[in-house]
Parts: sequence; C-alpha cells; structure tokens
Amino acid sequence: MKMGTWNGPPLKPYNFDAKGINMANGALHPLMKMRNEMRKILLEMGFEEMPTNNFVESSFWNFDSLFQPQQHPARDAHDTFFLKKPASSTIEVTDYMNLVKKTHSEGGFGSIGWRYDWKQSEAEKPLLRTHTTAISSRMLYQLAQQKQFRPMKYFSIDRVFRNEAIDATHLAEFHQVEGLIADYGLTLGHLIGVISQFFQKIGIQRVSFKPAYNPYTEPSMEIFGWSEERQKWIEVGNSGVFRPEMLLPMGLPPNVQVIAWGLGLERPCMIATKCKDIRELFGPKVDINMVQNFRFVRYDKLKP
Amino acid sequence: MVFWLSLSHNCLWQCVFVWDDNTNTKVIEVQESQLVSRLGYEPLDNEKDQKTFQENFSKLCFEFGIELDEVTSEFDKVAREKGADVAKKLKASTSRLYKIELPERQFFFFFGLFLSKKKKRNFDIDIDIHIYIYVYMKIKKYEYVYFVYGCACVGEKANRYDLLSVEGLTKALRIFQEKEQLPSYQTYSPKDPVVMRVTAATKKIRPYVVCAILRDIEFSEESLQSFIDLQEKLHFNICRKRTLCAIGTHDLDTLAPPFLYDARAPNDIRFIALKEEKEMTAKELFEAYRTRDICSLREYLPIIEHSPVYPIIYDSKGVVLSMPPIINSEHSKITIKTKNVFIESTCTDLTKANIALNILVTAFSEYCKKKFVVEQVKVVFDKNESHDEKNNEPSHYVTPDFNSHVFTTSPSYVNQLLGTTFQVDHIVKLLQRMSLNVRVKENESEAIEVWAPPSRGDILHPVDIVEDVAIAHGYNNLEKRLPEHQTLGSEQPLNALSDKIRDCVALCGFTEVLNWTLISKQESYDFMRIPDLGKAVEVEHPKTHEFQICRTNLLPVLLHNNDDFVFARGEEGRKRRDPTSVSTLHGVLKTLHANIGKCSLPLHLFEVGDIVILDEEKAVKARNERRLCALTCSARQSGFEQIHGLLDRVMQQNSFEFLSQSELKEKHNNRWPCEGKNIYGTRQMYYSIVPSEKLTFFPHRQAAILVDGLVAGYFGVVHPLVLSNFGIYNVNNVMVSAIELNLEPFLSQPQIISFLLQSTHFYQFYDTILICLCHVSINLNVPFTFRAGFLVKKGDKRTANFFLYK
Repeated sequence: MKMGTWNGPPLKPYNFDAKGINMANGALHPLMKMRNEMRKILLEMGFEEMPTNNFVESSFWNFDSLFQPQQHPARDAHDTFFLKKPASSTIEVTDYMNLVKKTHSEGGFGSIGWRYDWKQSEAEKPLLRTHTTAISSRMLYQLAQQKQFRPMKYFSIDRVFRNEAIDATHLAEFHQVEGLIADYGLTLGHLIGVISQFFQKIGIQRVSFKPAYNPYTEPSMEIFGWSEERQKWIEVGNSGVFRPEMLLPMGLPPNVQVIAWGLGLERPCMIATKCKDIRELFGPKVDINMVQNFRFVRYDKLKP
Repeated sequence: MVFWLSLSHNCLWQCVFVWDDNTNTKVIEVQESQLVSRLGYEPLDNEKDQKTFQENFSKLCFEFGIELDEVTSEFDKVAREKGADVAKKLKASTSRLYKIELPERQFFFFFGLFLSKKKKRNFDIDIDIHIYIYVYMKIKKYEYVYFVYGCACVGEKANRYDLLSVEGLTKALRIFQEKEQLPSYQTYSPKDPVVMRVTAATKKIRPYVVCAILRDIEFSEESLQSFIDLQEKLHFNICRKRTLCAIGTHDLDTLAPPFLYDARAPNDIRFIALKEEKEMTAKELFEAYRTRDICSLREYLPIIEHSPVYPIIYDSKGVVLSMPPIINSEHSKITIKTKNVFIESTCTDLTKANIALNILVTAFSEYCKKKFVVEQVKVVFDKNESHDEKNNEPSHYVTPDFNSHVFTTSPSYVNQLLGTTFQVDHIVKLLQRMSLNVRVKENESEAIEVWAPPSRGDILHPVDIVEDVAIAHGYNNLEKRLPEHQTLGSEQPLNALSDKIRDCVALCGFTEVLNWTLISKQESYDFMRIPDLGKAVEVEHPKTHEFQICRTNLLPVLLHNNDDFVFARGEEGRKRRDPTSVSTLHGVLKTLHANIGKCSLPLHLFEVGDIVILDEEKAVKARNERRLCALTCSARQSGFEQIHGLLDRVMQQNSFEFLSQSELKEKHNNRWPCEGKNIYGTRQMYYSIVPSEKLTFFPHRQAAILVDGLVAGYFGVVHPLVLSNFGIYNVNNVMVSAIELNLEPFLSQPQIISFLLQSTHFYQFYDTILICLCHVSINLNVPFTFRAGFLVKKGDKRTANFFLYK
C-alpha cells in the first residue's frame, strides 16, 4: 500500500472456475446431526426427554415390567448381552415387583397371565439394555407414583445393545428413537395421528400401517413409509398401545392409555449418506471425509 | 459359525452352529393358478390381469399382516442357483409361484440348552428358525458329544399356524374378504370309537398320543402334497423338530383297529419303514440312516436313540403303523387313493400336540365328504404303579377336542381402545372376518363372547380381540387424531450440555466421530498401557469376541500408582479414581488409524460419549459417565498446545476460571475453597492443571485436569508405544495429542468442594499405594459439615480410619 504497487499494472485475471481453498473446518457426525433434528422435532411437539444415560439395566425393567415372560426367547443370551460383571442388581421397588410377579404367574387386571413360576433371581440379572423402552417403563412407573396423574409425552434417542455378529447391516449397538404419550382415553387413532405427524416432519409424507406383533403392545403396528425414490413402501418403525398387564400393575389409572412408537436412527441416516455399510457410518471405520462433507439435515425443506 | 465357550473346571465346550437357511418355515409357496382359484378370482388370461392380481393380493396381504415376499417360479429358482442353462435343460416349470411370509418375531436365540438338564417348561413359545447344535465336551480325557437339539427362533404369538397351509391361508383370506363364512368345525364320536391303547412303557420315552380320523376324504395331487407339506411345517414349528410331538398319517383301510401304542427294545421292533424295501429291526434301520450319505431323518435320531425302548404303534394284527418320531411304515402309507386317514401324534407336550392335530385336521376336513367334520378317537392309558391317583393324569381322553376358551368383551372396550364408534353388529361382523366365533350374549347386548376356532390358538386376552377388530377394519381406515392435552417439551440437562460442548469443540475445528461402547480388553488395557483393575462392565457370551467390556474410565489410569495430587471428593472421588482406564480415546485412536492415510494432516477428531463403570451404590451396580475425548494428529509437531488451548476454550465457555498450581496449593492450605462469585452469581468454579505420570502419555508432556480440585481428566502427547499398538506408525513423524474430560462436573454446580491435604511425606515414608483423602463438603444451603478420611494400605493389611466433624 505504502509502495503504491496497487496502482501498478493490472493483476492477472482470477480463475473463477477453480475452487477456493479448502477451509479448515470442524464437523458434527451425520448420525448426530440427524439425532439433533429429530430431537428438535420431538421437542417442538411437546415431548420431554427421558434420562437414558444408563446402559446397564436390570432384566426387571428391561423385560419383566413390560410383561415379557421370563422364558421369552428375547431373554436368552443369544440375543441379549447379559453381564459377567456386575453379576446381579437390586430391584428397588418391592411392592411393584410383587405385583409384576403376580401378573406374570397368576394373572390379574383382566388377564389370565403367563402362568409360570416367576423368579426374582431372573429379574435381577443385569444386562445391557436391549431397548430404551426399559427407561420408558421406569418413567411410567414414576409417573404412576405421582399423586395426581398428569398427561405426559416422553421421548429419547440413545444407544441400545443386541448381541449380534456385526456385518454390513448389523451392529451390536445402535440408536433407538422412541416416543410415547400417556394420557386419558388415547386410542389407536391417536397413535396413527401422532406417528403421521412425526413422519411428516422428517419428510415422510405418506405412512401406512401393517398389523404386527410386539410382546408388550397390543394392538401393534409396523410403520411403512412411502419412498418416492424407490417407488415402494419401506418399513420405517414399529408402534403399539402398551398392554394393560404392563400399565395397571404400575398403578396408572385404568382409563389411561400409553401409545408408543420407535425407530432406528441408523437406517434413515444410511439412506441419507448413501452409505452401504453401517460400519462406515458408526464405529472406528468411519470415513472422516464423509463426516466432513455430509450436508445439512434439513427436514424443514421437506415441508409441504 | 463356530465359537467357544470356556467354563470352569477345565471343560471346554465347542458349539458348532449349522444354520439351515433353506428351512424357512414361515414362508409358504403357492402356485398362482391355485391361489387365484382358491381366492375365487377368474383365471388370469393375460399379463395385465396377472399384474392387477399381484397388486391386489399384495395389498390384501399387507392389510392382513402377512407379506408377499416375492413372485418367482421353479425356473427362476433353478436359474438363480445353477444358471439359466441348467434350468432350461431340466425343463423347470415357469408357472408363477407366490412366496408368502407369515408374521414373525425379529428375535432369534437359543433356548435353554447348554447346561440345563431340567425338564423344559411347557411354554407357549414357538419356533421359527432352526439351529442344529452339537456340543463337544472334553473333561479330563473323556470326550462327550452331545446333540443338543435343533432349536430355534421364536414367534411367541406369531403362531398363526392355521396359515401354514395353502388351505388354511386361503380360507383365512377368503373369510377376511367376506367371500366365505367361518365354517363350523365339528367332531363326531361314533358309538364305538376307534381305540388307541397306550402301555405304561411309553412313559419312559414319549408318554402321550393324540389321534383323529378323517373319513371319506378325497385327495388330489395338489392337496396330498399340501397335506404332507403342512405336516412337515408343523414338525418344524410347533413340534420343535419333532421333539415335542410328531405326526404320523396312515391309510386306515389297510389297518385293523384298535391300535396299540407301546415302547419296545430296538431289537424287538421289525417292520418295513417308509421308502425301504426290506424288513429291518429298529437298530438296523438306525444304522442304515446313519451311514447313508443323504438322509433327512438323521437329525431326528438323537431324540430317541439314547433310550432303551423306542416308541412304536401297532394295529390289532401286529402291523406296525409307525415308529415315532422317526418314520412311518410302508404298509400304511397314504396315497392319492386313500379314503380314510388315521392321524396319530405322539408327544411329550400334550398341549402342543393338540394344537398341531387341530390345525392339521381342520385344514383338511374340507376335503371330507362331510365337510369340516372330524371323527374322534379314544385314547386309553394302561394303569401302572406311577399312574396313581396322586397325579392328575387322565386314564383316557377323546381327541380331537374342539372346545376353546371363551373371552368376553364389549363394544365400549373396543371403541375406547380404537377411538371408533362401532355398533355391536359391526364388531361381530369384523371379528367373524378374522376367523373368530362370536356370539352376542343374550339379554345383554353390551357383552360379546368370542372364542377361537380349533384352528387358532393365539388369542390370550381381550386386547387381542380388539386388535383383530382393528385389523379387520383396517389400521389405515382408522381416523387420525391428535392428543388434546398440551404438554411441555424439555431436554435432559446432560444432553443439552453435551450438545453445547460438541458445538464448541466442533467450532474449534474438530471433526466428530462416533464409536462403540463395547471394546476388547486388549484394546482397553494393553494397547493403552493401563493395568486391568477389573472395574469395567463385562459382557457374557458376546458373538463378536472383540466385544468384551464396556469402555470404562477416563484416559489412562486415573490412579493407579502414586498420584501425588488427590483432590478427591471423599467416597465419590475415590470411586472416580478407582476404575482403570480408557475410554473414548481408544475409539478415536481406532478411527484415526482407519483414516490416517486417507485424510490430509493435521486431523482434529473428537467424540462425546458415555462410558460405563461399576458402581455399587446404583441399583443396577453400574453407571454411565459423559466424556469428551479429542485429539489432534499432525506431522512434525505434537499439537500439545492446541489440545491445551481446546481445554481452555471449553473451560472458558463453561465459565470455569483458571487457577495456577501455586494458587491451588495456597487455597487448599488455607483449607478453604475460593468463595468468589462468578457472573451467574453462583460460587466461583475453577480448574487447574497439574503434571501427571501416565504410561499412556509421553513423560513430561502430560497433565491432569482438576475441576474444583477434583481430577476430571487428562491431556498429553500420546505415547509412541500406544500409537504403534493402534497401528499408527511414526512414518511421517506423526504425533498425537489427546484430551479426555469428564463432562459431568460441568452439569451442576458442585455441592461439595474438596481440597488437598498435603500428604507427600505420608507415602514416601510409609510406602503406601493408596493415599489419604480428605475433603471438605459444603452444602451451600445447610450449615457446613467437615469430614475427613484416611485410607491407608500397608503391605497386605488395609486399615481405614474415618473422622467425622460437625
């Protein structure tokens, strides 16, 4: 400037067809970006986040409280990570536990029960939670302990564990998105309405429901979303109304229904990142370039 | 797939899993023409019709809760496996096959097999996929080989076994479409029924038998095949590979009732087995099956071969009907000309056998002259000593038994759950479409009695009935509603905080990675140069053997030897120091290893995630802790200052003030933590950095981070040995610096503040490993209390003294 060189001969024309210098940038992980968006949507819809920071859970909350019998195959070590250490846990709610025991072994609350010899030792076995519904169960129990029932909406997005051999489509841990609503007089129609609303917000405009089977919900529905790209219905989640055998022992009023749905976070993310191998998305084999170049997750763009 | 299970006292179990993919018994295949005619459509002439039919059928399946898997043909199947040429040569049929998948559960597992010799409970759990397991066991020179049993995956209520045959499936669909009424299945008991006598000897092996007769039946080639297929499917599913029950079907006209069900020594049994040419004893037969190259029956042999007596069924002339659960006799085999079919099902589980029998006879009673009528058979048990009054076992019964449990429900209950306004009549109609028997209770129009036909055994509770109403109405026809009550959304404070920290670190130029919680012990301890103090959560029988433990504590060893700074918070602080080792760092290092050649340096990576540590105080004996881990990887420079800068940035953003080492000492020597207020008007929060000596990091280029006087993390230049353990070699003079930090101290302002008790001379003198800890705990609202504790380890003797001041 001082030398006045700017006043000299004109600069060589700049090549605007070349790209600028790569900026040194930080980036958030695609899966977490997607989680953030879903969290935001659920918060907008009036859902309260559940405290899910406990990967270790007792069989009682993970299975028994959900009216899943102790001989249920889901409870076999082949699918669930049981723990060598800690070897046992304590069940802190004796009265409720006894009611659960009774509902399993003798029935009650309008149910004939599973009719077997319920064992506390089995319920005390600790495990890595297989679904975040274990937390939902804890939250619903707490809700039932309040003097006055208050309608609630809960959600969580966190890790769950399955004892799987890992391959391109399976991991031993993945993220589960779960939403549930506890209110007077909820119906299957409400569940369909809420799910449709939620999926619309994440860009799936058309959803359709297929009869399915879940151990702790009745009726149960598989959720299918219409994929414009692939011109077909693809499974996007699972849902249902919690069974009375699960809710009534907790002490929830009989006219309160709880509707819930869940979906995996990895699958929509794999579609968005066009990732064929889940290990390249989640885990140490992730491609840093992919993480850095992953675009905005913009569900707002998709609004009709 | 092979894996090892090691158990105590030197016995090794090797389990060999043979996964049989071909026996997916939840898929049934139907010829298109058969399907079309059975569902009552006009034959399809052109491709357009076919396409429309396929679309309609697929939609129907969806509504009904089953899935049209694919439309294929024999030709396609052969072509796929062996190539199109072979298919052409074989002249495989090109007629279209519909593969239909029945509802099933997603889980699969093994079922109480390994060590349990106890009698398995009769649970209402049924099997979908079958796994054959052989266990080889070696205990003190002796080898044992066990066949544990082809056990299986499960559909617990996915037991619409009535849909396993073309007959049952199309009938259910026709009823669903209201093209047909649910038939009224009836049993018929003649004055002088056929009798099956059961001897006491059978108690030793398969104690029960149930029987039925289908009279004046007319088979076609298709229906005979379907009859045999259904038996096989039932064997696979509900009969658990014939272990619970095994069905045998016979041409009644070749036999002379009454029948005798006995158990005899293998050498005393002689007959011509199905598809055999000559007469053989049971022993010879077993030998023959065992030595043949291909023998589908081999897998069933272990069910009875250990027994001194084998089950066997004779007629009154001593002709063998069958040797369950292995094989029928050639003599009584059913053919297309068979008019009267005698069905026997021997079993260990009477309930399951009855269900299987009911499904078989109800599906095929439509081919009888008297449609849907099944003749009953009387089963009489011989008396024996064990068969006294005490046990409630019946001395005789008549099968099949079509009585089923009646459930009562009401329209208001249905409407309340579905949000509908259905009238009684409409509900009745809907339930009838789901193949259920319905009756409106007399005088009481608000009560509906529902009972399942013998072909369905999956209704357990009135809720199940409501679901069937919803399915028949169509889930997608229900009116969409939204909950009326307003609720407030809110975040978990910990998640909100960690999101803020993630943003902060990413804005510093770091790229987020995401790693698994489960890791191997080797990576966690050996690679990080940390001793295993056994504080991690360990999993049992992982399928992927690198998954042994949940990632544990902060970077390298918060403690293990001589920490000369212990600003611990009493019990909690001690615990936090206890657990060993690594954390999120090893995962980030692994990610670095996978990317180091692919990305340009320097690389800045970070992860915010949970680690799991044992905690006796929690009900589940473990807890999570939120951690931040970040590293920089650059050539020719350590990046140590950058990591230090990141730490300062995170602290600054969290309103933590820096306190130098001398200030820290001063503060603690004065036995009083700083009292100043920060901008939020709360107690001032501070952090300090003191040198540390961890093997994971390079000497003198590492430090511990103290938050409010407590160790909350470490940072430093990662030791070259650690790098090479993770396969990050020092090719380009790559250097890595890393930080690991517990985020939970940031969460709430700490209620308790602790300080250091100068104790250096203490261990120098006594050569102690564990240190004295002392803390002041302050609850801001409550008059303050002072507690101090000494924990001293001296040789093997451990003494602990606690003082409490108030």
